[in-house]
Amino acid sequence: MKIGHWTSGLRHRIQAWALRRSPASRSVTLTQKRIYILPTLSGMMFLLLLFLLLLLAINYQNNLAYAATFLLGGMFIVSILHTYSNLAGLRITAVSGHPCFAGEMAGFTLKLQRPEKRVYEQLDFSWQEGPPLMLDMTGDTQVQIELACHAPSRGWCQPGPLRIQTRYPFGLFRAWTWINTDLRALVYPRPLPGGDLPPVASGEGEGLEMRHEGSDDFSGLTRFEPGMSPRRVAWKVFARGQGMHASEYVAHHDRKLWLDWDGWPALNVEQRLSRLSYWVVRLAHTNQPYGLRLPGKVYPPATGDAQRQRLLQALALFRLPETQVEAER
Amino acid sequence: MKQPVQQISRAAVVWQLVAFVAVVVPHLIWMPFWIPLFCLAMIACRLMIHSGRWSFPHWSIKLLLMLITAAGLLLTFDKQSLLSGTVSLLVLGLSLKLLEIYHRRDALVLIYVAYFVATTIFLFEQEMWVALLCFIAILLVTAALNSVWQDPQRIDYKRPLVQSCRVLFPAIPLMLLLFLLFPRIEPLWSVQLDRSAAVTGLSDTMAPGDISQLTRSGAMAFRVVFDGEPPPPAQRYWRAMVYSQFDGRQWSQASLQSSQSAESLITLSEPLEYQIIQERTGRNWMFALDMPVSSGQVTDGVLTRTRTLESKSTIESRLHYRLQSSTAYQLGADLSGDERARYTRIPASSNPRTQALSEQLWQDAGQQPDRYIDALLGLFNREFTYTLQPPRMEQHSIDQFMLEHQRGFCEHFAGAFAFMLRAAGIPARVVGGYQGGEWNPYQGYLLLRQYDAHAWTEVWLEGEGWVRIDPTAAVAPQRIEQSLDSLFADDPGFLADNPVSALRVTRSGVMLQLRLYYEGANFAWHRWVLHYQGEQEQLLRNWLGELSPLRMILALMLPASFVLGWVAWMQLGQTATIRRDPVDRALHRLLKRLAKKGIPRHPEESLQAYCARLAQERPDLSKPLRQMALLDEQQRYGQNSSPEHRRELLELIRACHRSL
Repeated sequence: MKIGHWTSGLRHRIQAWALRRSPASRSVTLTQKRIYILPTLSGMMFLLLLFLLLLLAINYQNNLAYAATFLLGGMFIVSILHTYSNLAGLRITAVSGHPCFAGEMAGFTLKLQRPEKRVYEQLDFSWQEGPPLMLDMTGDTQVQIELACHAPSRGWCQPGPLRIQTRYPFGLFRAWTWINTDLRALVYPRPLPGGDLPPVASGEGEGLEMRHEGSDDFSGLTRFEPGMSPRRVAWKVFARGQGMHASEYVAHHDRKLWLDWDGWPALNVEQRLSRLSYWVVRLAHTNQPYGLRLPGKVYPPATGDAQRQRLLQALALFRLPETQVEAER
Repeated sequence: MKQPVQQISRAAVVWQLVAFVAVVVPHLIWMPFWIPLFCLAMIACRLMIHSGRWSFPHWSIKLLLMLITAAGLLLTFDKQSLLSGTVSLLVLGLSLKLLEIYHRRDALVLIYVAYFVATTIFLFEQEMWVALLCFIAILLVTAALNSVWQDPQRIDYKRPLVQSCRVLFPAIPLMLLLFLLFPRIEPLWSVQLDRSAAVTGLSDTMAPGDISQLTRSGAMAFRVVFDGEPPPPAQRYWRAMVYSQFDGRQWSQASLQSSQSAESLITLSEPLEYQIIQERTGRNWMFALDMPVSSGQVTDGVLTRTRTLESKSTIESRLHYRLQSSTAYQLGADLSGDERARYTRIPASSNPRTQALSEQLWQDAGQQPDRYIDALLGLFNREFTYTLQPPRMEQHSIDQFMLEHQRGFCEHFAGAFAFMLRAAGIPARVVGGYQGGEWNPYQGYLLLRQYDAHAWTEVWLEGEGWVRIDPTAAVAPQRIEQSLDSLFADDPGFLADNPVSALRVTRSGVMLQLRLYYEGANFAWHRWVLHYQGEQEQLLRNWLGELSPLRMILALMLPASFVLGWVAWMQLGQTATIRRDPVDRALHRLLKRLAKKGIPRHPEESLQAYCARLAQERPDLSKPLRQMALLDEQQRYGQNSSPEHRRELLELIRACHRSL
């Protein structure tokens, strides 16, 4: 237990040192300055094997056994270069972070580029808090990957340093690097279903979601964001391989709804934000203009994804410390 | 961090099977037949599992298989064959492991043990082709190792082999360097090699027909490298043992008298220096050119009373030793009474007719040893035939040989000659060994085969000591001057044990040259590779001069870094640099400039935060900086990434840069 504590402390210190050596930037080419390499456990076992073979050679005074031992020893050394070159030269560009709801995974888009003549296999990408992604780069010289990170609470999700590591080709060594990407993703409050629409909207908000769907005019496509209704996905566009998009409709009516901070006095701050988040998502499925009143801030009613994003962002960053909100300005 | 249990790809499973087969194949030369059969069965099982027809075996089946192999091992191997037993155990263990490879960890166990088993073949056989097979096995095992680390979803059978070649071929120069420079140290504890079957060769006793039996074999007995010129063919008598007792039928060695010093020797010519590389005999005797001056630098070698060399322990593997011999000499000028009695003793009742013949010839020669010897050799020359296939001789074999058949091989002539000398009261003894040898011009050594085995006679003459007289030379001078090969090439008895021997078809022309070349390569292999410890010091001294640790390290590190530099260049050198994004480049330049001005960006600081901080320090730049941060943010989060926006951002960055 203590040792585990000690090693993890050490690991953090090494990581901090490595990150100090390579400040954050959008785009990084991996070079010897940032790549670290050490034998793995199976590399250690291989060394043990070499030791046994050497004992065999010495005790039987067998020169061919010596030769076999040295051949494998040479292979061990050469494989350092192979493992190293399976990272070196790779260029990583931090592209963007995608918003999500608290408790979900925030996605981050990274662009990877490889030199024309080089291939990379079994690259293992991961944030500190998130599932790793294994990847071979043998085909296209440029690929985009989406790497997820746990986003436990609302606000900005900063995934911390990106770790890229590889044990290819023989698992004897692990080459790795840490990169500060300064990527971040907005984490909306986790939607808390329940409650009624605020009284101001009563009489007008009944069954809103279904009524106007077919009657509105199609006005264009927008990027699909988590939380949008699956019914809005432009499946034909998706089938053409052009990605997830949502159809946008223009509403022809001017019924206005207000979501109010004071609508749920029984809930605490976070619960209230979650409840509001739920209603924003729900109303965004309709074409009903809706606005939001937060203490000290009023967002006039509107429709569309811009409104939805604006409101969710406001909820996400509500009363967060200054450094976190900064980018809002 | 804990690694999740990793499944391996189907290609990797196939590679495990290939690696296993490659490792076992060289061991077929010694393994009891049931082990390869069992391995084949296990491979078949694994293939059935692989193709989905069977499922992974139940633990009870695995237990049963383990019991079967354990029983088989106990029945096959005893304490004497600990080594082969151990290797068999490993091989069988690997074959059982085949049934349960599923995860990466199983495969790694299999592969690492396979590396070990591949190397153990050298404890059984060390010829060039075995080394080649072992290299191939290591190549394939390495491919299997690579396949394990591939993407489990990917099925690529070729790529592992490519990767294996790419790592092993650059490892070869490193291997050579280490091989040349690594100090060979004495064994840390004593180990035993398994004793294998008896080998053909001379024996302790010599009865009629024994040596002609050896002409059935073309197996190598020993090889000799001379420091200077080799002696002429007529002087190439290789002494192995002296038969001094005759029981009426066979000649045998006197019991070992190690306490007695060797018979005195006066050398009359400059001693020849040479090295002998003797094959395994399973016996004690060693070989020396007539007449060895001393036991030289032979560990465990003892010079006996009769000036033959004997090893203290039996020779169970190829032995290298250096000796000095003089071809002109005077041996044993004095003969004690005991010895005179021993060397003239014959059983009174044996071969009466030959004894009578001797008596008559001795009288005819006027009891003069010289004339008596000449008369005997003249008789052999006139009346006798040298043949590979002498008739069988039973009781009183010398009588039968001398008076009835008059046909025989060297042991008949040597035995009969020594007997007749003793019958006349002249001390005589039979010497067994080899005569002649084939000169290899490519590597400059002499090769003696079993069919070069020979027997000759030594006679003690007053004032001269022991004199070598070879009665075979009187009958068949070509045997001594050329070789047995040239004399009996078409005789059915010659090389009868090697019916498909290359020796049969390679007597002259290109084939002979090819064979000599191959044998020369083999010799170089045995001398420079298998016995490198004997040559290492001299070789390194020639190359490096005085051997100091510093020089050794330099000799290792300089070429090694050259090799590794080359590999690194091959791996990384062709990196075509990726064209960097102009926005990134401009931003990078700006940040560098700012850092120089004493306002560096902190590692964890986002660009926005940094710009905000900058704006406070440089209020004049606050507007473009904020604008820049905003645009960057927008670009990054995908809202505005059109080319116009990018241009705008680029312009902003450049503007900031200019106004610094």
